[in-house]
Amino acid sequence: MRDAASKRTMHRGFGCAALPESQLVDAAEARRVRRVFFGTSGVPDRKQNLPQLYRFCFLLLGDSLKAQEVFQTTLREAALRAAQRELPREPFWLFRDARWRCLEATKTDLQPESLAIDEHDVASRAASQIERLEPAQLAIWISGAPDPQRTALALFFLDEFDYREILEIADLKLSEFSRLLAQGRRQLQAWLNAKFPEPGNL
Amino acid sequence: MKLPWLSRGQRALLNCAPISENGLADRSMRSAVSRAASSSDFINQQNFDRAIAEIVRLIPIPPETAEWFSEKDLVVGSKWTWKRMARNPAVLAISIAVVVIAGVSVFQVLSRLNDFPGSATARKLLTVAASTRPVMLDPVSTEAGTLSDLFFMKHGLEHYDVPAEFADFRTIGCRVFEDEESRRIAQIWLAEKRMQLFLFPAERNAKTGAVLHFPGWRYVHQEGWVGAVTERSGVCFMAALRGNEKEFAPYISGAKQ
Repeated sequence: MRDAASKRTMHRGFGCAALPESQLVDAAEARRVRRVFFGTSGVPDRKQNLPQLYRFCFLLLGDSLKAQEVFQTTLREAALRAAQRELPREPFWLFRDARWRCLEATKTDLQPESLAIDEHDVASRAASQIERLEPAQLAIWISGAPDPQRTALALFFLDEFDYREILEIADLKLSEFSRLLAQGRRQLQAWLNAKFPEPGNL
Repeated sequence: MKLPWLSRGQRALLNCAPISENGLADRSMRSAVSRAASSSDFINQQNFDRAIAEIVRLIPIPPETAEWFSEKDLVVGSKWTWKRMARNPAVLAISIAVVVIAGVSVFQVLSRLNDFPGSATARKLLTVAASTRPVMLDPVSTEAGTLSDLFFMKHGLEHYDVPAEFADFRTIGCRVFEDEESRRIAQIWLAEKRMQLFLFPAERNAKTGAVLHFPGWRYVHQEGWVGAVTERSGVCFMAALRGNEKEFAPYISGAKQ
């Protein structure tokens, strides 16, 4: 059972080709994007939290360079649409757009095998286990989950949106979102138990 | 403590319970959370979620990405300065327009300050003076003061008297003509400095017909010419020459502008 969790983890980060850093940032473009998102015509702050948008991409992709690429492509496209006055009116469009780009980016990646993954009840010592995790390890684990579970977990643990907003961004029903979260917690707990076993169980 | 009995909907909500308490705005969510708040399962879930959210918050933002939302040069309002505003083309254009309008207004006001009844006619006559040639006048060689009788006897013009200041100068010629408003104007050309004298009806009140008097001498300027104007008995007298007011100093003393 521990193997199954490990297998899923091991697939994370595969197929993420490194991009040259020089391609990632264009200072002039970055300034233009800042004007779009922080100017008077920008959307309200919470819906355009750009650091959280990057973290969302990172959780969905498990790879910093890929997350940067999707993040910047999303903003570049948004700036272009803003220049043409075609910014969508609905809230959270930026996150929704980034989500689809992330899913598109991983479509051609090596996919995890469909294995039955262990599930353990959330333990009281989970917090201490999680403290020992690196953010990248968590991102790799989440990015290895199938969608829409991956989106649900990423959006929920960002702690940026309430559940209704998450349902809207991820196009989920409450029952489905609830199931995906509960299952995600149990699977994550199983992985934590495998990664950081209790001394007595070694 | 185990979870109390909850409906399927409440269980679903409980699984989505917000990590931070500010997400409890929803009444049904508040109700579900309050029912399960003391159960060990829910406490474990909350601790688990908070710990994961804390790890997510620790995800570092690469410098290349941070560049996209750095606040160092946020535009619009954040760094408002006079210098920046002055460079705005719209503000610049409006400022120039306001300065020009103000300049024209000041000029108009200053011009009006020197205005007096008949000044408009006087300016027109300065233009006439500039374009008049000696051949256009009837040659008359006499003292200017004596022409009053000629104007009265020949043309029926009463009170067309040359003031004492200019009465003794020799004339070259004179004429009487009508302007575009059919007012009869007497023009005299002097040998002295090629000065021209004009006599014309004073301006009257449009309603009462009363003469609009003004005291002393006033000056008008037009295209390099200057005129010294005074009014007596309902007739304006203007001495005109090319130059400035100082040219009249030897002839007129204590003139008002």
